[in-house]
Amino acid sequence: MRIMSQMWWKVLLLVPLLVLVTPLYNSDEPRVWGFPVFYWVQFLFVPLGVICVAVVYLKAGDRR
Amino acid sequence: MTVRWTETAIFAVLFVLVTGLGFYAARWQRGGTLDHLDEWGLGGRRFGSWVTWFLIGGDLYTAYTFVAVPALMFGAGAMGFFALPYTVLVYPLVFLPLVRLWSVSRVHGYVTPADFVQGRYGSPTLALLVAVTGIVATMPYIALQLAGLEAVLRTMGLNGAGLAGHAPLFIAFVILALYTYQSGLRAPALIAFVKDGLIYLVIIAAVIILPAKLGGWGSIFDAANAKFTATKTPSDGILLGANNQLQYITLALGSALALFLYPHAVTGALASRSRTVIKRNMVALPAYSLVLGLLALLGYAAIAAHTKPIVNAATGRADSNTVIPMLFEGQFPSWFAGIAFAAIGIGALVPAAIMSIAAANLWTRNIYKAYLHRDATTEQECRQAKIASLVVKFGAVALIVLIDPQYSIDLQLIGGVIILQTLPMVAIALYTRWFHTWGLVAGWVVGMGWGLTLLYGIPNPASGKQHFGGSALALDKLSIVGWQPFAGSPTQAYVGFVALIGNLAIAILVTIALRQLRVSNGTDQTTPQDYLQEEGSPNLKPVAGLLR
Repeated sequence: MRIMSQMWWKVLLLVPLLVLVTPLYNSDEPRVWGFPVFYWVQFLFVPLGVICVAVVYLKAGDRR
Repeated sequence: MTVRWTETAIFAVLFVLVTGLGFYAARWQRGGTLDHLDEWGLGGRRFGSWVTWFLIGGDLYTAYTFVAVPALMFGAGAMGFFALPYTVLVYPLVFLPLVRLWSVSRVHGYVTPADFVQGRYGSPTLALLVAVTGIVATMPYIALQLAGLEAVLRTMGLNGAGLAGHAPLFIAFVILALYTYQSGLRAPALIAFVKDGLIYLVIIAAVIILPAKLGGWGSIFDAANAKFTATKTPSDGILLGANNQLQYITLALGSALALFLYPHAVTGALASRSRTVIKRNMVALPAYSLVLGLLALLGYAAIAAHTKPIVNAATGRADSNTVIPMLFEGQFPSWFAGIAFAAIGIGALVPAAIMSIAAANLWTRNIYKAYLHRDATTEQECRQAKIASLVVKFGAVALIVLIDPQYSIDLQLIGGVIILQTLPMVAIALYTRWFHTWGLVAGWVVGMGWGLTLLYGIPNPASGKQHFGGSALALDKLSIVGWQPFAGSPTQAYVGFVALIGNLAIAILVTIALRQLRVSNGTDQTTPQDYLQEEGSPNLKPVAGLLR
């Protein structure tokens, strides 16, 4: 069972791949601090990626 | 143009400081002997989390990135921002494979990715292919660091014509070569602290001061938008167009997959002390990605500030790499511009040193020792690597001097496409040995040949070149032995990615055929447990030269 739950945590590593779906954010409005959507959404993916990797680091143990 | 003395003086002082550090590094955290590749080429394999963070950060986020990515934003707009998703993707993608590579390399004492391939497949041919690909892909990468350094030197006014115009660059590189020769990987590791300190200082100041001076980010984006709307080129703009979204996606993904196939990235990872150090760094390294994203946007700030790139006196043409240095020159006091120039310049030295060490390790382990001098002692190996690091550096200088910098960027483009072709041999081999050795060789040949053919066929209307004009392939032109699956489509994709798909398809087909024929697939010296060993395991090979 533990092995299975460790594997599921690793699926989180695929979440940042969403940044490849450009139509999600390829627009100008609404702007945040003057940044078009295209830019602030991609900046938000940096902390999102960090959270995903950090959770896998903490939860998935050291095997594999 | 006259020399800007304040900037040059500050640059010189900081350059002398890092030179001192570079020579001192030989004695920093030193093991019993420097005459072993574990010591000279991997810094004793015991860098902790902090040193590794600075080392890999200094290794991956190079001067070229700091100069060329904003220059691309300045010229083409949103397309240049691919560097951000690229560095978002790389860490989740390599998190698991990289720790496996670390473990298997420590169990067997591997120094290079080609060492691993040799151990995994027992095939010197395959290891040689990986080594040669790595060296060929790294050389233009070093040359590009020089292009970044030279952009700064020329902005400071050291913009001479002809061969003499390259003299400041040459002097800087001789000094770099000397302390790398003496101190090995410890030199860039130590200098990386200074480099990153300066870069963070400069970028934080720039993202606070520049928007304030230029009317806020909103008006910076509006100025960029106005510029791109005014041009006739349909592909530029502050958003992606209909035809370049696939190019954006495949370029980001392809670059992310390629990054840790580069020998210098592997060198940085193998120099770390433990799996835990690598994992922590995969969490902490994206801090640099934020900086990279902000730096990229300085390309738009340069548009808003009406910055003009300077004319390179050696080629007589405007050098787009000087856009960011000229932005600093125009918007900041001279002393601060000097610090910014030093940050970019030192930012060129760190990766150039690591790359030359990585290429030297490949030469020594997988060509010299494997083919030319099989019973070389560890001392001979080490001496050979030191000499190779000099040869590699001067090869890169020659590339810059003999070839127009514009052309060196094309070489780098080719480098990225070809290093990606080692993905099945190195990255996939970390998980499975399903592929057959000769399937991998066939895939490499096809991927390499196809990738280079496609690159050759891409013109660049802007610079009037017929060949090697970029990495964006119009799918309309894609032809598989005469069959054109996407005829009439104006959509573009990244050549490296297209070639990798061809590579994998051939490798799979040939592997299936050879398995049917039951052709022997060599012997695997590694066991599944080797990929899981952590620091302190009795199965790890002792690091040579460690004082007990």
